[in-house]
Amino acid sequence: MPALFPPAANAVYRAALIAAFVVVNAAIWLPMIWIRSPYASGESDAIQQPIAFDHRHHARDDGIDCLYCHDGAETEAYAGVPSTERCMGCHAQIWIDSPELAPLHASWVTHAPIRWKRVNALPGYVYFHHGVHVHDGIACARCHGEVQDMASVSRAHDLSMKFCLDCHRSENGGRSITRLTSCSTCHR
Amino acid sequence: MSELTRRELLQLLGSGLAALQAGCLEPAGEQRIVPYDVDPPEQRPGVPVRYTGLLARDGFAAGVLVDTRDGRPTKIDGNPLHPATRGGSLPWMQASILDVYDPQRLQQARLGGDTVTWSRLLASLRALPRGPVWLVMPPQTSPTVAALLARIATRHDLHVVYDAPLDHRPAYHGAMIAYGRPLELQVEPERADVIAAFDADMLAGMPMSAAWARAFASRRAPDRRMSRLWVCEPMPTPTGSVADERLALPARAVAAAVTCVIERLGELGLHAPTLDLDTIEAAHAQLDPVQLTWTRSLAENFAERRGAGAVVVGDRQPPVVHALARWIDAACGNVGGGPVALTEPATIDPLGGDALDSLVAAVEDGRARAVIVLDANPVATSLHGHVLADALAHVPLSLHVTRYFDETSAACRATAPLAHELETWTDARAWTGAHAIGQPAIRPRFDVVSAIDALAALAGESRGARELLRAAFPDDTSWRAALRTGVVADSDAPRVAAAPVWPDSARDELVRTLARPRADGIELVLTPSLVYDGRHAANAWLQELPHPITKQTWGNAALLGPATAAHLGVSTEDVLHVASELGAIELPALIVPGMADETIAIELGYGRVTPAVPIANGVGVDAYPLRTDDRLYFPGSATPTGERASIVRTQLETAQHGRELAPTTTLAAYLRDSRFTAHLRGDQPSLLPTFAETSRGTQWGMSIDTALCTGCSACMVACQAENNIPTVGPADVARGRHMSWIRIDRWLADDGTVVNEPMLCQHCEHAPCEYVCPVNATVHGADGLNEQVYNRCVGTRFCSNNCPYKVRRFNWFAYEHHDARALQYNPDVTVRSRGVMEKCTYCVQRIRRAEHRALVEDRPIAAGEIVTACQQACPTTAIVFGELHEQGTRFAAMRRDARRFDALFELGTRPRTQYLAKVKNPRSAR
Repeated sequence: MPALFPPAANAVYRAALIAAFVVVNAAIWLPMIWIRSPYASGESDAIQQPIAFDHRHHARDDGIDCLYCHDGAETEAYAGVPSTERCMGCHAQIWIDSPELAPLHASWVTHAPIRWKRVNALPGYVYFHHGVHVHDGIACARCHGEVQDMASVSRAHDLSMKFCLDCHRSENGGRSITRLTSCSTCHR
Repeated sequence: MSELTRRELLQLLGSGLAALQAGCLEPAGEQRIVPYDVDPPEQRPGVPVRYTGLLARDGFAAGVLVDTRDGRPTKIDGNPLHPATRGGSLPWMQASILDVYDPQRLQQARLGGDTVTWSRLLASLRALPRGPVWLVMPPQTSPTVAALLARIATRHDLHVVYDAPLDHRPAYHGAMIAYGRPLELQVEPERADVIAAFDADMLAGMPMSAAWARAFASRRAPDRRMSRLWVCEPMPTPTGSVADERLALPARAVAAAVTCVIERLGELGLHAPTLDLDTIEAAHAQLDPVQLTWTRSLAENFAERRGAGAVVVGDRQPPVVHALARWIDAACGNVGGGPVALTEPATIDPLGGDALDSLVAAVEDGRARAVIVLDANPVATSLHGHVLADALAHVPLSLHVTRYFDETSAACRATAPLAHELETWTDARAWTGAHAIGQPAIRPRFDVVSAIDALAALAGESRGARELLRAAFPDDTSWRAALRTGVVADSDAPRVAAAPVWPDSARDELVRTLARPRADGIELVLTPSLVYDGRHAANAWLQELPHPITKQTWGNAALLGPATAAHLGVSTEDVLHVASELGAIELPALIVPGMADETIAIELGYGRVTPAVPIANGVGVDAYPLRTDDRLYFPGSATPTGERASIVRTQLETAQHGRELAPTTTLAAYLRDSRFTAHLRGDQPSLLPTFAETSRGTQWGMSIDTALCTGCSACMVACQAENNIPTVGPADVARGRHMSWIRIDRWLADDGTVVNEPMLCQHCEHAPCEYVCPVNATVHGADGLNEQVYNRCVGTRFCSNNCPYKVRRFNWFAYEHHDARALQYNPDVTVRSRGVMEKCTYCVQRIRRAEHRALVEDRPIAAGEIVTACQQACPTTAIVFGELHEQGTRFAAMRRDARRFDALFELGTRPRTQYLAKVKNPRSAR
């Protein structure tokens, strides 16, 4: 009786076993790797804003402090995004003819607010307070990256729970780690 | 279900993966940030701004503070500077915030069948030809409204009907008897050694209740200064539940009780009206010996405490009872220098106005060309509603200005939406006369106007409400001060010195009142409910709020005592056919200990016919048809129909079965031995770490004084507003799925003493819930909070099973709102969805806010800085939140109080919430 399988069958069988192992593991691990990757979190993806606002120019070249525009960051939960009025404080005087600033001036005239795209966002069940972090000496760049070097701002970190806990577990400024890692510190 | 194709399966898997990702990380660039174009003053993103505001019911103002978030009002609390609230609040005030965003509200004016704008209606009101104009509205206290009415009267032949189903006028008529003019009774319970409430729910059901409850509570510490509250009432009320001496008496016999008090005061040599023998005999005939002794004891107590007593009579009682009460106060020297004073009433034209019957007659004669019903619902609540409805249909212009399209709207030709108090400029006087301005906290979401705007149009006034209110102030400083404090400085009505008289007419009326034949059968008593006279029936929070006494939600029942029930042969949930001379209704019986014998009490405001307002429509049974005249108690009959109907309640058992769930004692016993709860607190043997090992740093706790709690339930609604708690509807409440994080357990001691025990998460140090959670979704925080982590919870409900206090709530369905009501949500608290367990967090968002504020300002958190929502709402200050190590505060004193005990102490859960046992001060236990 001739052999039912050709000699190559063993090799194919082993290859199939290995392939099955790889596929099953990939199905489990790849999504977990992917979700932790910058692709999923959108890290470094430059976000095109309605106005081509350049932080390099304002924060680096002109040396305007972050808090001049994001004035809630020092004391409040929300850092805030400047109103049209705040922008117009300067831009009513300078660059008034720039086509780049046309949407700003349109907003000023029509009272229609500018709809910026949110770069750094947290899920709804996370309650982050800018004021306490800035007050404790956490630099803006610790979470937001070197914004003064970004042409259009992108997310510098994935802002996952791991990212928060990495600090809360170590760089805690003399505060109790159990307190900083209690669930209700951030979730309510 | 159709077969799933491969393509659909892959789509579902893909979207599932996307949802998983979306749940944990927010992708960049998809949400929008929309800053202001011009920064408004005061507003900063996410920072709550608090404004003073004004709510009013039947004219009487309740000054409130309104929390707004980014321009949306989200929470209402009492204004500590306003004399009618003093910082406390009542359920209807708390629940009022939901009405602002209620999608059931009338949103568009209609004239005939056409939709019109308010501006067109206002123009037609301005152009109304001279002639008879009828206004139907609730009693008013606003000076602005008074001025406008006077101006309307110069243009039109004005008739005003002050329509209030729960009429305060008997009190004014009583003052007419005693003083010859209507006067308002002002009480300072903090100065009273003895207080008597005759058929008056003075601590939860009257315009001054929030303030009176706070003042009353200040004299309830169990020491020699503890006051004594005497309550005589036909049915149990929150006030009755904190009474030291309580007498359940049919409403008709209250007059006899007051008469007997007067008689005894006369015997004791005090200057009281002399009653003739027939009157006294008639009064004695209505009381049994125990009741008679009770009234005589009350009189003796008042005579002992001359100059330090106060008598309050409820509006249900006839004028002559009010007059006699004024005599008790006068005889005991309580008026002038004592806790009682008299002022001119805040109400405009307190005894004036036309009757609804004369409106109907005028319509029939063709004399009423225009009828404007302003914020009232007389078709549903008046004695001859259907007659009025027919009449309104025949008036050339009948306009109903209302928040909801209700029974009266259906009868009128035109309807127009009325603004909520938080959407408009208003003003009103409090019971004390204090004048307050109400400012808008939100721009109305649809085309509404206020009552002042509508009246201004009728008066031909072109100025808006704000300008009219502003015009009464001499300068900007006083105007701004009035808005900032929420009350106009020094605007309390001046005190009036008046000596009571006892005219022959009064004597005759008393004889008539007492001689009213003692009905053989049942006395029916109609009583306000949590939805009051029906005006709050559209509010789901108030519909689902368990009644303070019966714990019934979503409806009403025929309340009767065990003896009456036995006599009728009915048990709870048997349907009764209840009839009076003029009407009959059928509703389930509910047996309530503490009811007067042969009395059936039925709550008003239910059984509404409002298809446009689904929350109110057909819930419960309408008791208005039973009435025979303006009185709220009258003879009737009750027979079982043999049918059964379910009553949706949240607590079925009030007996303690000897388990010391809520220990009580009397003042006399307490002063002899204060250690009556010593066996209900302290450490149980345990293998777990002791408190000393786990209590480093800030540790939060709560103390609740059950001696102060009236069960009014303001805390429950406050919690609902603060913590985004949903309502679930009657079917789910019946399945035990109500969601309140705090409830008020009502326990009865063997002697009938009622203990109201607010029950919320105890934040046990050895929490049974934490051991059984398979996913660590409920864990202990470093500051002693038992934390519930919604995004970890997978909904096994093991924790709820293992919770001995039964304070955990499970989201069986997606109860959260996605309509305008979502605007009310507190942005600091997660909105939970289906499949998640939740429970009291000790208002952790307020704790964190205070911690963040203190950290940013480089200071420690001040003692008492953190106030939980329930604590803030509590009119009697029964709930106190604090830090376990703090010193010299009321909370610190409560943590050492001899009366403290742990709920279910024997389980060794070491709760952070501690209770103080109730101490009563009855005269009989000397």
